[in-house]
Amino acid sequence: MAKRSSWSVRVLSVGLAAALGLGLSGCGGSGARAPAGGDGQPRSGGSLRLGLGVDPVCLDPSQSGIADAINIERSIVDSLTAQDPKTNAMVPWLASSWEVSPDASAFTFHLRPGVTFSDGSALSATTVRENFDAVVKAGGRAPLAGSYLAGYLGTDVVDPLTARVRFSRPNAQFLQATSTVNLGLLSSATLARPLADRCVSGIIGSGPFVLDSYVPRQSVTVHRRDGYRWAPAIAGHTGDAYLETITYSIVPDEGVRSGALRSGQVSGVTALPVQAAVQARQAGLTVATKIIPGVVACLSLNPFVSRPAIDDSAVRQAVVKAVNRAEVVSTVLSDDYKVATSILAASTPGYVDLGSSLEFDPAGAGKLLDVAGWRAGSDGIRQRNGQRLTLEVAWTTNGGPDQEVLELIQQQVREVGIELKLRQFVTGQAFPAMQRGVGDYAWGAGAFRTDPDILRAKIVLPGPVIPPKPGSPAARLNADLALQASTVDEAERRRVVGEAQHLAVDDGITVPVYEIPAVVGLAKNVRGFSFTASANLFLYDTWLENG
Amino acid sequence: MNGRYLATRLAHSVFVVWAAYTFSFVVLYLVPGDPVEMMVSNGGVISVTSEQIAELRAEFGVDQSPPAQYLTNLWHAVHLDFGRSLQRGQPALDIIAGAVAPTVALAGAAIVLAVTVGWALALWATLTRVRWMQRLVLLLPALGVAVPSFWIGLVLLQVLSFRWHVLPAFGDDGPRGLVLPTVTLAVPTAAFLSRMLAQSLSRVLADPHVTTARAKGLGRWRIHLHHALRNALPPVLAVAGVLVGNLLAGSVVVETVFSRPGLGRVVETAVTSKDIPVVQALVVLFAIVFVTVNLLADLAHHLLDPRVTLAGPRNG
Repeated sequence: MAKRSSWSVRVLSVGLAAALGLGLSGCGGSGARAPAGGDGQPRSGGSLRLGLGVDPVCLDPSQSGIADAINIERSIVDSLTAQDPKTNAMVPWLASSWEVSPDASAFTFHLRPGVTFSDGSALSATTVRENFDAVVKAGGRAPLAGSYLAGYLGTDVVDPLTARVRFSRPNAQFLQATSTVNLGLLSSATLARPLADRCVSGIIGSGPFVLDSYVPRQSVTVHRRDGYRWAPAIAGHTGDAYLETITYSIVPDEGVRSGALRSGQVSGVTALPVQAAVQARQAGLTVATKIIPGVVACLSLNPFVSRPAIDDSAVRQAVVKAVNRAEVVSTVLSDDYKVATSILAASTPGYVDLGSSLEFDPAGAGKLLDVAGWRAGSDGIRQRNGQRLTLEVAWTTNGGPDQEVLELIQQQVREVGIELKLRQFVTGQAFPAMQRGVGDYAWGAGAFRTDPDILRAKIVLPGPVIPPKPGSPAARLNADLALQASTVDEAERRRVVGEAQHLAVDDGITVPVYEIPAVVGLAKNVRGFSFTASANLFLYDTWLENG
Repeated sequence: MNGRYLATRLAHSVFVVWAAYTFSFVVLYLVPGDPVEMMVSNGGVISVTSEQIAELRAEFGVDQSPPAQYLTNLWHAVHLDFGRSLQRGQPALDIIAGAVAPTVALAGAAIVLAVTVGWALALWATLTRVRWMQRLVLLLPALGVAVPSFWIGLVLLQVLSFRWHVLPAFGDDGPRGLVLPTVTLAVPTAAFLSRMLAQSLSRVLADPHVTTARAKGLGRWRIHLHHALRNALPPVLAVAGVLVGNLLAGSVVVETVFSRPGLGRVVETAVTSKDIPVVQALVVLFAIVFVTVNLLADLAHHLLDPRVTLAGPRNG
């Protein structure tokens, strides 16, 4: 998962720099076609100018996490595998085939011959080894990529085109991880440079575009690579990309971004906010959306607290029932969002439909609380033994509509006699506060990845002070999440992941609310645009009509 | 002007810069949130091991006690080494150096525009004999100060860029891209300047020496430009430092609205990500700019009004 974010003038006016928050999530992946106009015969040539909401900060894929950085890097860097955006199946890219050992601790990749990086050097098993070694050596500077390689022992160069990656323990998520941008392959020349120097220049990949320049906080430009012959199996064509150049301009203000799109100053923008998407559609522009796979926007238990109210499973389950998800989506959000039917978005591998458990059921919530001894007090908030039923949510500013959503949820649970207090934090400060015992729940606007392993990052937080009781749903959930990480058998992993989702939802450990879309606005003449499986931009097939 | 005066002022300036550095350090450490954890976290989820965090903390020197960090950082800062940015890995000074030019261009253009418009308004308001027009002109500055600059920026964008397509909405591509941000940044400053100057002028115009000049039969323009303006300027110069400070603060908003790379954007990202080396280097830079402008303003004050002797703390 990575960071997606945007800011608005609304936020600016309130607190300027200090109040501006980087939000959450998005992840690398590979690509294939998705709708957004693909009629007619693709035309080669032309320049595409896009407005991105966030400065990529660092263009080295292994050090990146910001969604807009991944959006750029996907054009420059190829991966060993690709993931089909429709089926989530793993398909060949730079590796034409692979084998996984039965215990998911060794992965052998057979590389496609003839692949070269844009500096002319050839892709070989040694390059693969250098890349993975470099990620591990980068340590904390490569947080996402490093977590994909947890337990990495080394890569064997079996022959020039065969690399075997070995782990000290099972690592079932690794195959999907090889399709992410974060584990995309860079040339040896790039890897030889110091980490800090790899952020702004010298990112050399084997992708369909080549990095020209990155001016921090301003723009990134790439140009088409001639002689590109190794598009992933799921791409719409083979050979060179259609676009001659792409300029990614950083336009932080969302109002300016959508204005620039409507007035034709850019041909596409990322992170189009709810209202701007409506306007763009009215203006006849294309709005492409894809639900981002991974964990949905949800409340999740703070593992660092133990208090009578939140420790009561009846209370937790009542919150799950008291939230009217359909109302949240229809009043605060838009049709681009979807009501959550599990803790995982429906587009995530291993998703199970728990829609019936997540139905709006205020009567059921009230009954649970009655039985547990929480009685309505004078102001409508329930009490038990003189204690008010108050729960606290630690949440973070995020360009998204989080505040409106949380305030609506606050009203909804109040209807069944639960008081929800909202405590807002600046990005990066919510977690330390939770460690100090602030917040019964954390609000998370998603944690994105096209693999169910993302549940681990979201639910099992490092070092809970109060480990769950043996045999409790939380303990079983933790056990399941550990088990899925080491299960390579597809059906078995699905079963374990399904059970984990049940435990997370049925016991109220998480309160799923809605699935989050990536929303991209495009000018009318932009054709063949598609999202990767992880809902990042895939511009290889994109072309411009009469432009 | 003498050497002793300059030495005292220099010592004051060094103290101001040191105080700004120290104050910003204290504030940054009082704000909760570990900078390294913020650096490696992805939407509140930390996927690196605690050993890796410890390594990074040691590398950036944030594993020491705050007083030890303060002394080490200060020692390096005196040698113009503010350390590396936590977010970008580059030296903090390199990041700032790369962002200075766009902000200098923007702030410079805004100063020229603000001074021109501000003075023109002030002169017009005091010269005109049409009463209601004078009132109107005197009202404008209050309006300019009251309206938030991002709002002005958004209105300009809506009309001139999105509707009429006259000027680009974003980017740093030559002078055309500079027009709207310059106007946006200049409005509050021009308003502030014209109000000060108009007040100052009205006061001076009521002075006996102006009456004497009038009695001699000098024209309105001559009185304004030769007698009144010269005496009305010093109070305006006295706030030059504040004006430059306002421009730098305004650049945070204007550079964000107009998507311009520059110091304002660097400030914004460094503060939100608690990128301490960058924030501290910026604070020192801004403090130096502030004390330099003040010093220059005082020297100019002396040149305009030789009665001001620059004898030391009295005018300090």
